[in-house]
Amino acid sequence: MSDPQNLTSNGLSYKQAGVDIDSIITWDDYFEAGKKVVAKTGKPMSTIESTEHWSYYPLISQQGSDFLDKNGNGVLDNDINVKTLEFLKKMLDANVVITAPAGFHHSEEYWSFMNNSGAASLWMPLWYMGRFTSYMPKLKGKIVVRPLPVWKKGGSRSAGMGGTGTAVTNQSKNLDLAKRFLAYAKGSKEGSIKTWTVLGFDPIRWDVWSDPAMKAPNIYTDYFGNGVFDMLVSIKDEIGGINVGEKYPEAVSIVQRNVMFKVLGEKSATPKEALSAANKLLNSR
Amino acid sequence: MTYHNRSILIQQILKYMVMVAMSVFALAPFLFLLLSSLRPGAQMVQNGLTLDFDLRTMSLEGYRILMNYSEGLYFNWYTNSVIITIVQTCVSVLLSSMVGYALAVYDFRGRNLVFTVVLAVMMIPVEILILPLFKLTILLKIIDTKAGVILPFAVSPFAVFFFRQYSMGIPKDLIDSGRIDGCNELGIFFRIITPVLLPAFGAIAILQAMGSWNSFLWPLIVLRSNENLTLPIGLQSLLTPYGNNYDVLLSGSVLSIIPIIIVFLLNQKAFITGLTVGSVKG
Amino acid sequence: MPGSFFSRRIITQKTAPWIFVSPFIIVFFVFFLYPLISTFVMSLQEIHGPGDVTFIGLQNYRALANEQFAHAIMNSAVYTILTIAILVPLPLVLAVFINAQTTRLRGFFKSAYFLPALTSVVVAGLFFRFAFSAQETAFINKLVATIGGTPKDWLFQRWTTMFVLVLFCTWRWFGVNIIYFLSGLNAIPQEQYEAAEIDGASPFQRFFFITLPNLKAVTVYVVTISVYGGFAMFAESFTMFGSARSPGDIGLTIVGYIYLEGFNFARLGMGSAIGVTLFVIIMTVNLIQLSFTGTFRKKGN
Repeated sequence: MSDPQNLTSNGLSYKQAGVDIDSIITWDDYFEAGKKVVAKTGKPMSTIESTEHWSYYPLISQQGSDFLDKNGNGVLDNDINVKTLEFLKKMLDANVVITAPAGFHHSEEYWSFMNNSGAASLWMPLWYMGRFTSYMPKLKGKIVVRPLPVWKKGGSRSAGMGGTGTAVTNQSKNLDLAKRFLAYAKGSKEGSIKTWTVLGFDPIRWDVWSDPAMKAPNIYTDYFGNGVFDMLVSIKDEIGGINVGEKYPEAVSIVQRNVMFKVLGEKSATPKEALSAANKLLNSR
Repeated sequence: MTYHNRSILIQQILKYMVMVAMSVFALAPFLFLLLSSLRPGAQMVQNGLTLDFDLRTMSLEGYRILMNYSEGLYFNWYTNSVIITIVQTCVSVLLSSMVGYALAVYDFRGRNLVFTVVLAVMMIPVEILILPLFKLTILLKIIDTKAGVILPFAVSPFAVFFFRQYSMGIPKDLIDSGRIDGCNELGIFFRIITPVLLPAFGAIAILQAMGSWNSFLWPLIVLRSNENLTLPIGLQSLLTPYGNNYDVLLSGSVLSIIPIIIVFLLNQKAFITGLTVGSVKG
Repeated sequence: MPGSFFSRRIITQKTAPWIFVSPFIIVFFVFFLYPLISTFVMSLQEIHGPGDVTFIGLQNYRALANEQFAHAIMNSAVYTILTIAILVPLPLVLAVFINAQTTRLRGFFKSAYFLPALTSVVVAGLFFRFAFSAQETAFINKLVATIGGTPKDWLFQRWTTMFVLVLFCTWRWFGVNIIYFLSGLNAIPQEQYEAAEIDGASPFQRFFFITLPNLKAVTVYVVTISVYGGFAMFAESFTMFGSARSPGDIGLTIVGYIYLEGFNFARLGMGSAIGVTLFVIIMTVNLIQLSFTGTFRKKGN
C-alpha cells in the first residue's frame, strides 16, 4: 500500500458556508475558504494532530521535502519544513484549524467530535476511510474524498507516506512458500482488489485502480461514493515517496514529541526553534 | 444535649462522612466497569466512561463476544494466568520457607552473609534488571514461556524474611525430637515443621497469588505470542494505538478481578498477617 | 520413616542448611547478580544484536543529558514526593478512624478500602484513562461541569496528568497502607492511652503525643516502600497512556524511559545506563534512610 494522502471534506459544512469544494486548489485557497467556514458556521475548517505527524509530513512531502535526506541524515530544519510548519501555525493561530481533541486522529475523543460534525474537513492518508466507516456513522454520505491542495499551481496533489512493509524472516521454516504466498496475497490482482473491498486500502497495483471492481458497491462506496479511485488515478503520478533510513523511526518520534507537541500543542517553541533543536538531536544519535 | 455530647456527635458524623466518602472513592470504579461491560463497546468510543444506567442498552453481549473472541483467546489468557499463579505460588512458598527456616534455625557459617544478601535483594527494585534479564531469558531459551515468567522470581526475599521471622518462634525441642526419632534434616522440615508453618504458608501464599495474578512488568517483557499472554498483558494488548476492542476489554476486565476478590473475601486474615509482619519490626 | 543411613550421612546438620538455602543462592546468582553486573557492563556498550556489541565507554551516560531523561527524572521525583505526601497521612487518619472504639462496620470499611489493591493495574488503568477522557460526556468532565468548572483534556497536560497519576496510585494503595497502620495501632499499649485520659488529655493531644510517636516504625516502613514504589513506577503510566510514550513525555518515568530505550528503540546499552542511574538513586535514598534511622537508634530509643 502506498498511503496516498487525501482530503476528506464534509459537504454539509461547506454548503452552509457557501464554499464550493472543487474551487479549492491551493493551500492559500484552503486558508481563505477556511476563514469563511469558521465565520459562517463557527466550526473549524479542520483539526490537526499535535502528537502525531500525519498533519505535517504529507505537506512537506508534497513539496519534495522530507525528514531525512537521501543519505539518511536528518534535514528537519530545512526551509520548506520550517515554512510549512509556520503555515500550519498560522492557520492554528487564526482558529481556522484547531488541534484534534486528545491530540491525534485515532482517539475516541476525536471520533466522537467528528461524528458530530466537529470540523469541516480533514487531511489523512487514504486508509483513514476505514475509521470513518467504523467510528463515524453519522457522516455517511456526507463526506467526499479529494486530492490535497497544492502549494504552487501545478504542484503535487498528494504524497506517498510509505505504507506497510511485510517481511519473511530467514528463520521461516517454509521460506519459498512464504515468499510465494506473500507475493500472491499482496501482489496479485485478486489480492489487490480485496485490499480495497475488504480493508478499504488503496492496493499496490496501479493497474487495478481502474478495474470496475473498485467501483462496485461495498461499505466504502456506500459511505464515500464510488469516485474514489477515479480521483486516485487522476493524481497517481503525483504521489511521491519518502526517504527511509536507520534514523527514520527516531525522526518520526522526535517530530511527534518535540516538534508537533511543542509548537502546536503546548505552544512552547517556534517552528524554527523546535525544528533546529530536533534536527540537532536526531543527527547526534 | 450537653456541649460535650454534641461535639462528640459532630465528630462522629464527620468521621463517618469521611469514611463513607473514601469507600465510595474505593468502590466506584468497580461499579463503573461492571456497568460499562453491560453496554455496547461502541458507547465507550462515543462518550467515554459514564454512569448511565439505561436498562434498555444493557445486555450481556460483551460477555458473549468475549467467549468467542479469536477462538477462545481469552480462555488461553485465563488458564495461563491460573497456571502461572498456582505454580509460582507453590514454588515460591516452598523454596522461600526452606530458606527462611534454615536462616532461623541453623547456626552455620555464612548465615549472616546470606541474610544480608536477602536484605540487599529486597532493597533493589527489579525494574533495574529488566533489560539484562530479558537477554538472559532469551539465552536460556525460556523467553515467551511460563518458566520464563516464574524462574527469575522463584524465591521471594520478602517471603524469606517473613518465614525466618516466623521460624524463629519454633521451639527447639520440636526439632530435636525429630532428630531423636532418626529423621534427617529434610525429613524434619517436611514432616514436623511444615504443619507448624501452615499459617505462614497461608499468608504468603495469598500475597504471592495476588502478586502473580496481577503481575504486569515482567510478563509484559517475557511473554510474546498471543496465546501465551497472561490476563493483564492480554487485556492490555487489546488497547492498540489505532483502535480499541472495548467489548472484550470491559467484560474481560470484570471477569479477571472476580477470582482474586473471592480469594480475598474468604481469607482476609491471612492477607493481613502476610502484609504486616515486615512493617511493625521495620 | 526415618532417613536411610545414606541420607543421614549427606543431609547432616552441617550440610542441611546449605541444601535449604541453595535455591535462593542459585536464583540469586543467576537471576540477580549476573543481571546486575550485566546492567553495568551493558551500559558501557552499544548493542545491535546478539554478538554485535561495541564498547563505547561512557557515551551512553553522556547521552543522558537530554530533555527526555530530564522529564523522566522530574516526573518520577514529583510523583514520589506527591504520593508520599498523600499516602502516609491519609491512610494513617483513616486507620485511626477505623480503630476507634466507637466505629461500627469495621470489617466493611477495611475490605472496601483494600479492594482496589487487588485489581490488576491494567483494569484500574482502564478506569482512570476513560473516566478522565477528554470528552465532555466522560465521567470526570461531567462532574467538573456540574460543579461549574470547564472540561479538561486531562491526559494532555503536564500537571493534570500528574494529578491523575497520583490519584490513581492513591486509589490503589491507600487501603494497603491503612492495614499497615492498623497493625501498628494494635501494637500500642492501652495503658498509655489510659494514663493520658486520667491526666485529662484531649483526643488531639492523645493523637499527637501517643499515637504518632508509637507509629514511627510503621511510618518509616511505609515511607520507604513508597519511595521505591514511586521511583520504580511504570505500569500505572503505561496502562493510562497505552504505551510508554505520552504526549510531550508528560507521563514518562525513569522505568518508562528504560522500557522505551530498551524495547521501542532497541538501544539496550542506553537502557542499561538509565537502569544504573536508577540504581544509584535508589541506593542513595536507602543510605539516607538508613543513616536517619540509625541515628535515632543511637540516640537511645
